[in-house]
Amino acid sequence: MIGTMIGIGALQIVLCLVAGPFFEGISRKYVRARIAHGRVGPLTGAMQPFWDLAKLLGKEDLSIGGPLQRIAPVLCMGAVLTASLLIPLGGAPPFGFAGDFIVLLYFLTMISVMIVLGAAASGTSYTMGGALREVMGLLIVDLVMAVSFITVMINTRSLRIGDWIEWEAAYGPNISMILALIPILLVMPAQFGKVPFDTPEAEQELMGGPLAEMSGPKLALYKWAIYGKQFVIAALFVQVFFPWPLTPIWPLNLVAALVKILVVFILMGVVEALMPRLRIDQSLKYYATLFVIGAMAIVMAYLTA
Amino acid sequence: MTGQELIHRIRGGFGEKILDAREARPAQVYVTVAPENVPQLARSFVHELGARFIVTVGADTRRMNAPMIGSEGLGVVRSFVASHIFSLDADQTFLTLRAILDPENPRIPSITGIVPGAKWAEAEIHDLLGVDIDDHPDPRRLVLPDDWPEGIYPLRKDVPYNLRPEPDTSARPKMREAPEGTTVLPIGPFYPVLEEPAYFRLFVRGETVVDCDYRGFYNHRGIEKLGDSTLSYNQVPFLAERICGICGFIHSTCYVEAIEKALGERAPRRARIVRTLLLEIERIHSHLLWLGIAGHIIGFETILMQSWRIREPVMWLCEYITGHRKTYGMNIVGGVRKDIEASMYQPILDCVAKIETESIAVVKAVANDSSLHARLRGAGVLTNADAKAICVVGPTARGSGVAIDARVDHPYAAYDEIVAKKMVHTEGDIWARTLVRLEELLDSIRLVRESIRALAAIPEGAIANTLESIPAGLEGMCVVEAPRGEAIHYVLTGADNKLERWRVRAPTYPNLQAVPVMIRDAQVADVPISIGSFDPCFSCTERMEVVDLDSGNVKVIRSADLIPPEAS
Repeated sequence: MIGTMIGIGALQIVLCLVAGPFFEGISRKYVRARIAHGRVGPLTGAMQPFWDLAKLLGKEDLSIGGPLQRIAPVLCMGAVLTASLLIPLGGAPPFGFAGDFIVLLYFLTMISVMIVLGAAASGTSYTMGGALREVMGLLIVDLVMAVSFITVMINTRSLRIGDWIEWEAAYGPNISMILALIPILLVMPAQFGKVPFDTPEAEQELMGGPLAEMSGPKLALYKWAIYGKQFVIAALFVQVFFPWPLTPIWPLNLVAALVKILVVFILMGVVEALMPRLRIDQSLKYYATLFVIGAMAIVMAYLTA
Repeated sequence: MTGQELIHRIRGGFGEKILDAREARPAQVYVTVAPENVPQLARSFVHELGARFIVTVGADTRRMNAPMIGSEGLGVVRSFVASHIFSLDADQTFLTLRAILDPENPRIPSITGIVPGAKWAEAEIHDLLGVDIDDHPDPRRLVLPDDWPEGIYPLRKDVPYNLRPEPDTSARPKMREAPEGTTVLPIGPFYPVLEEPAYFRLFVRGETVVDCDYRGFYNHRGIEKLGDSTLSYNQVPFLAERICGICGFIHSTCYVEAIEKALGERAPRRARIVRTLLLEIERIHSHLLWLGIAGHIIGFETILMQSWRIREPVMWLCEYITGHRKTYGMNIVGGVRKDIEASMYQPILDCVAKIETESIAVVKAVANDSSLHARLRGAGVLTNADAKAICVVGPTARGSGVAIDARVDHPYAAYDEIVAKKMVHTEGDIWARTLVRLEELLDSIRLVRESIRALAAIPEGAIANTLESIPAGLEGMCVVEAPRGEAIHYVLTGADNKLERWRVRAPTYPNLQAVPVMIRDAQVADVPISIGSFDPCFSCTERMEVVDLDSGNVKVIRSADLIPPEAS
C-alpha cells in the first residue's frame, strides 16, 4: 500500500514536470503558431519548451543579487512539486487528507510569493515594478479561486479534495457549482501567467518583470515551476468540476485527466492568441467582477444546500 | 495668398527690419532679417499668418563664393546662416525666416518660447554648428555624443568629415534628477519593443508616470556631412535611401525633388508617376508593419504575425518592380532609373488586390475588437493644441485633428493628379492614430491603382532628364509625406557640382518631442504603446554626423562590467 502510494506520488511529480512543458509546447506550436499566427512554429514541435529549459540550464548564471535570489527559484520549484502531490489525477489525490485543499492553496500561493521574493532580492526597477504587480494580482487572483472553492466546500461539506471529486461525480453539477466554475475558468489565464493577464511579466513594458534579472539555471527553474503550476491548477480545475469519467480503473482515469488538462492548455492558447495584454487597473476590475460572481455562487450554495 | 502678396504684407508690417525678401522659387518665400529680430517675426508668422514651423537649417557659408538665391539681394554671404522654415499649408507655400549671423561669434535668440516645436532644431544648430542660442530652455547636448570634445562643431566646413576624436568611455549623458518621491524606470537605451536605441527615463510614482527625460541620437552615421562633403549630386540619392530602412524611397524622392525644385525643373511625368506608385507601396508595407509592431507592444502577437504575413507580398512586389526588397536605387536627380513596363501592370494589380482583401479582413477584426478599444482608446492622448504647438506631423497630427498631409498641402511627385485623401480624426488618442493609419492603408491601395491607370494612359518614353552641371547657391526644399509624417529635405548647392548643405528632417523628429506630453500622468503600461503609436524611427531622426563605433556613445560591455564587484 505504502509502496503504491509512493509510486503514484513519484508519477504525479514526473507528470507535473513533463506534461506541463509538453502541453504548453502543444498549445504553442499547434494553437498559437499554426492556427492563430499562420506560421510553422518551432521545428521541434511540442518539445520546444524542453529544449528551452535545457538551453537555459546549461547557460552561465549572470544574475545579480544575494542568497535570497539564489534560493527563491529552488523554493518555488519545491512548492510546485509538493503541490503536485496533492492534486487529483487518477481519482482522489494519493496523499489526500482532511483539509488537503488548504495546504494545496498554501503551496500555490507560495509559488507566487517565491517569484516576488526573488524579484525583490534582485532589486532593480523592472523587477520591483513586476513584483508589485505580481502581489496585486496574487492578492485577488488567489482570492477569486478560493471563493469558488468555498462553494464547492459548502456543497460537499468537506475540505478534502478527494471528497469533492466523488461528490461531483455522484451528484453532478448544481447551479451553484456551475456559477462557481465561471470565475475560476475566467481567471485561469492569470493563473497561467498569460495574455491578457501577464501584466507582471509584461515583456514589452517591464522586460519580464520579476524574472528580468534571472538568467541561466535560475530562470530555467522559474520557467519550469511556472509550467508545473499551470499543470497543477489545470488538474485541480478539471478534476473538481469535470471528474468524469470516474472509473474504478486508475490508469483510465489518469489518461482522461491528462486529456482534460490538455484541453485547458489549448483553451489558454486560444485566449492568448485572441487578446492584447490588459493594463493592471483593467485586470483588477475584471478580477473584482469575477469575485462578485464567486460570492453569488456561495449565496446560491447556501440557498440550495 | 501668393508669394508676392505675402512679401508685400511682411514688408508692410516690418519695413526696415526686413533686409531682403523674395520668392526665389515658386512657393518658396525667403525673408532675411537681423538675428535679434527673428523672435518678433516668428511670432508674427505663427500668430498672424498661421504658419506652421517645420525645421531649422543652419549652414556654414563662410567659404561660399556665390550668393544664396533666397537672400540674393545681400550678395555673397560668407558667414553662418540660420533659417527657420515655416509652412503655410493653405497657400502651399514654404516661408523661410533667415538670419545672417556673426561669422566670429554666431548667436541667435531662441524662438522655442514662441514655437515649442523648435526646441530640438535649435539645440541641433548649437551642437553641430556652434551657434549660441540665447534663452534656450534645454541647453544640454542633443545630437553629439557625450564624449565629443567641446568646441568641435562637425558641420562647420573646417571640420573634416572623417574626424575621429579620442573616445572617452567615462562620459555619461546629463540626465535630469528624478523629482521628489518618484522612482526612475529606464526605457532604453536597449529595450525590447524599441527596435533601435533610445533612452527614456520615466519618473514614476507607483504605476503612474510623473515626467520623463530623453536622450537619443545614438545612431548618428554622418550622413548629412558625408553628403555635402564628398558625394556628387547623383550619389546622394543612394545615401539618402539608406537613411531609413522602412521609408528609404521617401528620403531619396525627397532629396531629388528638392534638387529639382532648386533647379526649377520637374522630372518627366512618367517618372513622377513611378515615384508616386512606389511611395504608396512603401506606405502600404509601412502601415502593415506598424500595425504588427503595435500589436506586439500590447502583447497581441496574432496581429503581429498576421499583418506581417500580409505585408510580405508587398516586399516581393517591390522586388519585382525594382529588383530589391528595400533600397531600390530607383531615384536620380531628374527622374527614375527604371520604368514600369506595360507587362508589369497586371501582376501589380493582382498583388494589390490580394493585399486589399486581406487588409480589409484585418482592419475589420481590429476595428471591432473590444479588448483593443480598452487598451487604445483614451490612452496616449495628444490634444489638438499640444499637437499644433509641438508641430507634430503625419498620423500623429491627423489623429489629433490637425489636417495636414504633404501629399495634398505641398504636392510632389504626381500627387497633383493622383490625389490622396486626408484622413483626420479628432480624439488624439492612440486609437485615433490607429484609425488614421488603417484608413490610409486602404486609400494607398486605391492610389496604387490610380497610378497604374495613369501609367497605362501615357506612352512609355523618357523617364529622366539629363543632368547638366548645377550652379552654386541654389536652394530648394521638398516635403514628402512618409508613412510616419512629413520628411523634409533642404538643399543648398555649392561649387564643383557638390552640395554645400543638405538638411534632412525625418518625421519622428517632431513627433518624438511630443512623448513627454503624451505620457504625462499615464500608466506605465501605456508608455510603450504611446511611444509606438507614432511609429518612431530613430535611425531616420538621428541621421547625421561623424560618429563611429570607436568614438561614439557605444560602449563595449565586458563580462566584468556585468558581474558586481563583490561577486567576482
